[in-house]
Amino acid sequence: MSGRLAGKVAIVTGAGSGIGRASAQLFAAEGAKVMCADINEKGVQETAAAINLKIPGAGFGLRVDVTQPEQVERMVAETVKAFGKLNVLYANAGIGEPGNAIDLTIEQWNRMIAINLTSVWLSAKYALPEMIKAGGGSIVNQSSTAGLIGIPGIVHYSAAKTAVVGMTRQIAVEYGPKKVRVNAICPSTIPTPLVANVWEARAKAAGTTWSVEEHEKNIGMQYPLRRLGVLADCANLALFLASDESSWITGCAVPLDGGLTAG
Amino acid sequence: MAERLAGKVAIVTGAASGIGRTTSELFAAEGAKVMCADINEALVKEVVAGINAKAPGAAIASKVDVGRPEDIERMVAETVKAFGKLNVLYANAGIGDAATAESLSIEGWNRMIAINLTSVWLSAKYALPHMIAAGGGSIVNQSSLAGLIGVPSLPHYAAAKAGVIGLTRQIAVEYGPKKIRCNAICPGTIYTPLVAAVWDKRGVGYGATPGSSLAEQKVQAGMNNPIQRMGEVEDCANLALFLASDESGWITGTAMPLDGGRSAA
Repeated sequence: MSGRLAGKVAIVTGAGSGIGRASAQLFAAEGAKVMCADINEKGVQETAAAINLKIPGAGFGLRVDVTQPEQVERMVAETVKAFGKLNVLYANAGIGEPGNAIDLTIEQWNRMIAINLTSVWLSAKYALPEMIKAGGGSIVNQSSTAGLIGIPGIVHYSAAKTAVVGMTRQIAVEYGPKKVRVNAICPSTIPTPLVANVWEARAKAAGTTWSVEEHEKNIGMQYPLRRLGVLADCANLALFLASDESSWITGCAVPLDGGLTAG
Repeated sequence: MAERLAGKVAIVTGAASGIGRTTSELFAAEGAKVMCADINEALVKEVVAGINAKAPGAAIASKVDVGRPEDIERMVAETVKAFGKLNVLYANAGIGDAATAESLSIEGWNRMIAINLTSVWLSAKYALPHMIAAGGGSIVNQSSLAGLIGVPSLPHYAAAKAGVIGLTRQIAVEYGPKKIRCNAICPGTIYTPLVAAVWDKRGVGYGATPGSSLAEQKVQAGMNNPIQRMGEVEDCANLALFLASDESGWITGTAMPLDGGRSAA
């Protein structure tokens, strides 16, 4: 099998569930060794075990709080210790939470910025030297449709995700000459545990109840392609951006939104 | 490993050389049946022979002048007749030319708009009904870095390529409900016969010093982007493959930069 990431070593943060888990599994299936990092130790060990069941030795699970610089540093060090180098970073870990500009508290703001923005920089900070050592690499940062357009009810999330796009461009321009590429994925709604949390919080706040399936279908109709995203949509884009197939693509914020931001 | 375009039927325009040729070969290698269309009949037949030598029956050739609506209509009809359906259109055909807004003639303008913009719409016009009949499809339109940012000496080219982005978004939004995706590729400088024609007319490559050799010009032109190399035809073929395949099934209406980071700087 000629995997599209054959010979590569990758880190996926937020690999304990949802998009991160699906991407870690796809990366491994395409030949990569994968450091699976998540604050949810049980979830991330499950992800690593599922990978190793199919491809023994391809996955490594590690509990990492991406807001803690020393833990991010250790994540990179453990990766290089286990697999010898680092080629790919998918900085996917993040949280969702509703909030508007008036009611949001400073604690909510600071937590969002720490988890959805500062962690992305920290991951790059510690990954870049190893990628440069390896002769180049690819960083894929998780932004959002909220990083491209305004969406009601998520003020701090929008600020963090838009900043991820700005940082992506900056690192791409600065480290391009060292053969490190950096791109951002801007997904719209993909039903994951993170999204379900936001929906539940909103429903609770509004005092309403509905079935998730019906809600998904209704929201999906707002998109030109008439559906919400699925995990594989994001994992496939992450794979393309991680692989050498995209070796002349850097500094991009790629919309993954069923056409939402085109209309 | 499953082929990434297994069971698909694709049209590639401008398939006789450069990006179109490499993409046709890649699509076929990934399992697609490919209609290779080009105004240069002899060359496009060579491309098809090359593909069929590896994958017998995977490709057919057609002499198509994308400046002529009847040629494009025939191209689509021949594809469906030969392969039974249509899933993918890569509207890649185009020309390069150098001028300034002052020096450009109306004939030069009209020719550029016809070949680099109108042909893209016409290709979609005739492809869409067959894609809808097939239950959906993917259109990949060739735009350019010049469709995203200002590039000297290309006023008509820039207008046409920016027009392609607008057209792409519109088709994506209008035909998304019919399961048609439509995306644009925006390449920076990839050294192809088209780019060679522009350089030849201007006498020098992008950012290159007058009097330098072609090899020097290529290196100098590559230094204009963060990755510090010119694009290769494979870079574009790989992106076209991703956008053509079901892997990008939730991506539509985008204008994808393929420029070594140039438009991020």
